[in-house]
Formats: sequence, C-alpha cells, structure tokens
Amino acid sequence: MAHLTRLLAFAGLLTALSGRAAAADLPLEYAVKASYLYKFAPFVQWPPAAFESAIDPLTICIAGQDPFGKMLDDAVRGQRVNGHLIVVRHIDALRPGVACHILFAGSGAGAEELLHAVAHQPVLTVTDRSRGVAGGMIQFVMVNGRVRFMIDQGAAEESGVAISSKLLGLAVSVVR
Amino acid sequence: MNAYSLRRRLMLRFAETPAIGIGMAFALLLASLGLAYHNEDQARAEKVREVQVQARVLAASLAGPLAFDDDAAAHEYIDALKASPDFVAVGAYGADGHLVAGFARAGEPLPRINRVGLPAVRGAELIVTAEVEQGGTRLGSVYLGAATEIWSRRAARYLGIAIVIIMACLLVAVLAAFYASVSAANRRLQAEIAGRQEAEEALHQSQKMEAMGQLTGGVAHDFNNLLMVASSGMELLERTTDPVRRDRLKEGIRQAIERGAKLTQQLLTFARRSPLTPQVLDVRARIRGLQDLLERSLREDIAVEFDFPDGLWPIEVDPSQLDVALLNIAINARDAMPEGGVICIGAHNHPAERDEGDMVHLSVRDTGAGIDPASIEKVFEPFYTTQSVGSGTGLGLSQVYGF
Repeated sequence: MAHLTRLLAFAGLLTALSGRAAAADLPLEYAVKASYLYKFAPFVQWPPAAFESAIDPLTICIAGQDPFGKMLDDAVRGQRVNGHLIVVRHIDALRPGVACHILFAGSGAGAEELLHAVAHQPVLTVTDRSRGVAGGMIQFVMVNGRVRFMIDQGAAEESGVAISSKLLGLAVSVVR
Repeated sequence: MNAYSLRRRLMLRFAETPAIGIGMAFALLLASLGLAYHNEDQARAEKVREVQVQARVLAASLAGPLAFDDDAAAHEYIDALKASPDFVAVGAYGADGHLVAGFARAGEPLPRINRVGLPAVRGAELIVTAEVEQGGTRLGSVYLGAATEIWSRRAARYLGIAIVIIMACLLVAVLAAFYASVSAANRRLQAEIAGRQEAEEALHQSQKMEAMGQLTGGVAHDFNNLLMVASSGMELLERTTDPVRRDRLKEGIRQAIERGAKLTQQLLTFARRSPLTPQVLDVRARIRGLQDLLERSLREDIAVEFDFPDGLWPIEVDPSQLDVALLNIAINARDAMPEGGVICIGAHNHPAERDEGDMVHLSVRDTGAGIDPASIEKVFEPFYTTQSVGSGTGLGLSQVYGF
C-alpha cells in the first residue's frame, strides 16, 4: 500500500513537472506560430481585388482568443510583403471597411462563426489544432515537438487564394 | 621618283632582313595571347553566371524551408548539390544571417554569418552569395563556393595549343630568314649577271679589234698601192702636156683617192663601238658591200665567190656583228688554206619549221684542210687555236658563236 502511495506520488510529481515544462515551452511555440503566421503571406497570392491599392496594408485578423499577445505585434513590426505593410487587427465580427487577408481563428464560438462567414472570400484562414480549432485552410499541428502545418488546398482555391507550391511542399499533409 | 626609289630601297632592305617575319611571328604570338586572355575572361564570366544561376535556384528552393525552419528539407536541397564535385561549400543562412544548414569539403569552412555581396574569388574557390526572398520578404541567404580550375590544370590545357602557336611563329621566322637570304643571294646574282654582261661586251669589242688587226696588214698594203698610184699619176701628170693623157691620169688619181676614202669609211664603220642593233637588211647587198674588206684581209691567192639566189628574203640582224662574224670565218678559212683556194659564201631561204620563224641560211665554205673530229667540238671555245703563239688569239670563232 505504502508502495502504491509512493508510486502515485511520483506519478503526480512527474505530471506536475511535465506540465510545467509544457507551460515553459508554450511561449516559444506561440512565438514560432506568430512568425509563421506572417511568413505565410509571401507564399500566398491573393486576387488583385483583395487590395484596393498597391500600398494597402496586408491585414492579419485575429478572432476569438488571442494566444500570441505582443509576440505577433513584435514579429510583424516593419515587415512588408510585396510592398504591403503587415498590420494586425483583433476583430470579433466582420465589419464593412475592414479587409482581412489572413484570419487566425482562436478558440471561441465567435471565431468559428467568422471562419464560416469568410469561407467564400479571398481570406487565408489559419487555425490551431492544438487549441482544438479546426477548419482553417492552414492548420498548425505539432509534429515531434516542432510546429508544422496542414494545408487544405481545395478550400483555398475555392476562395480564390493561391498557395505557392513551395509552401505546399513543406506541409505535413495537403488536402486537395 | 626619288621618294619611289627610296621606298623601293627600304622595301629591299626589309626583304633582306628577317625583321618583317619576326614582327609577324611576334604579332601572331601577341594575338594568340590576347585571344587566350579573352577566352579565359569569358570562361570566368560564364562560370560566375552559371554559379549565380545555381545560387538563385538554390535560394528559391530554400525559401520555404528557411521561412518555416524545416531543416530536413533544407538539408535535402543542399545535399542534392553535394553530388556535384564542382561545389566545395554550400550554406543556407536564416534571416538573422546565421548558418542553418550546409556543408564544406576540404578547404575553408563555411562562414558563421553570411554577408551577401558580389561574386568573389578566394583561392581556388569562386564564392557567390544570394538572398533568399519570397514575395519581397527577405527570408535568408545562401552561400555557394564553386571550384575554379586551378592554375596548373589551366596551363596544361593551354600547353598544347601554345606549342602549336610557338611552332607556327618559329616557322614564320625561319621562312622569313630563308626568304631574306634568298633575296640577298638573288641581288648578288643580279649584280654578277650585270658584271658578266659588261665583260662580254668588252670581249666583243676586243674581238672586233682582233679582226681589225688582221685587217690592218692588208689595208696598209692596199693604201700603199693606192698612194703609189696617186703619186706616180701626179708625177706623170707633171711631165705630160697631152690633154687626153692628163685627163686619163687625173681620172686614175681620183679613182685611187675615192677607193682610199671608201676603204677608210668602211674601217671607221667597222671599228665603231656599237651595241647590238638589229635591223632589217638585204643580206646579198650587205655581203657584197663587204667584198672589198674581205679581199683586203685575205691573200691574193684566195678567191671569194658568192652564191646568192634571187628572191632571198631580207633578214633582221645586227649588221656590224654580221660583218665581224663573216670576216672572222673568212680569216679562219684563209689560215686553213696556206696553198690558196676558194671561199664560197652562199645563202638560201629556210622556211619555218615547227615553232621557229622563217630564216635565211648563210654558209661559208672553203677548200682547205678541214678540221679533225677531235677539234671540231672545240672550235667555238674561246682561246682555242691551232695556230702558234702570237699569230692568233683563238677568239675569232667564239665571236661567231656568241653572235
């Protein structure tokens, strides 16, 4: 009995330790995801109508719960893709006059709704599987402790967003 | 005219020195060197372009792996270049400039931080760097070290053609030297020919003088006779008063003087130094005009006969040379007939045969001793004579041959 108790205690300690380790890894994982989020932009081509002018900013919209915080703002600061400055916006609903080019749907019911709402608009949707959200054209997954992604090319093509073969080649899986 | 001759002399001088040839060989060498340098330069530029293209291809394929930290994919792309021994070092660098993946064969290791710049040559390595860009976003850079041909191998490659070119240059120089020496020899030969011609002319003149000498004896005797006729005529003229006899005597004296004048005229014409000037003449009239001169150079016991058929063609010949030749032959004939005899000079037409032109055949025949077969081959040799020393020069018939 005492033996069992000790074993349990050890298991509890292990769990606690691994939990702490996971918690420590979290910022790094999300920093990587934040940088990937804006690095998708050069590999993606939007239809010309997606930008009003050549100097229009490229907007990354964050819907639902934001797991990145300041990290994303730091990552995109001063970055340009094809001459478009990258800006980050937090939204809870689609509003006329606010164009989204990349939509990251965090957890939350509103986020999933938004995901459906932009289904036929030229918006690259990104979701994070490890946060239990699915349905984006690009979904972050963890493979061997590394951040990787899956791509739904069919959905992207349907909405008029072209994803470069260079990016497709790096995906762990591609749905056509 | 002056400038022309100066230029000619200069050209001659050039032709006689191998300077032009050596200059040409040098120019050939210089041109091939220039060509080799140009080729080398072009090959280098091409190599740089080639490596630049490869760097750009590598940069394009590394865009994804560098953006999304896919080291496995980056290694895959870089290892693909390992297959080519041309690449001695390949590196992929992230956006922060730090090495992500790469390899370096023997030689310098990959730099820790890549600085993108112009292509550079470091030792035997051509280093090309390129940015990794996607959609205007800088994602990293690549570093490509390509092996360049080492100096000794390049030299070996050029050695064969260099040997051929050097041989060609040597050949040109040798040919030029040979040509120069031939040209100089030719000039010496020309000078020698000119000297020979001069000597020959002098010989002709001396031959003429020889004939003159032969003539002199007879002519002096003749003049004496004529003077005798004239002086005795004068003496008789003073003694007589008969007008008929006086007229006859005067006529005799005039004839003697006229013959003397004619003889003098002929001698002067004969002795005059004249170049070979052929002219068209009637051979019969010419030789008949020579009769007096012939008779005076021969003895009284030798008769001269002529055999000229009618309708003889006129001939083109140098008259004075013809005279001398005939005189020489006649004197020869005289010496061959110590007992006296007949010299027959004849001529007949000789129509054209094959590619020769029409000719007139002129012959001189005597009734003398003849020439033995051993001597007949030598009769035209200069200074060949059967006569005793002092009585002949042996040049007479050689003049005939020369004529």
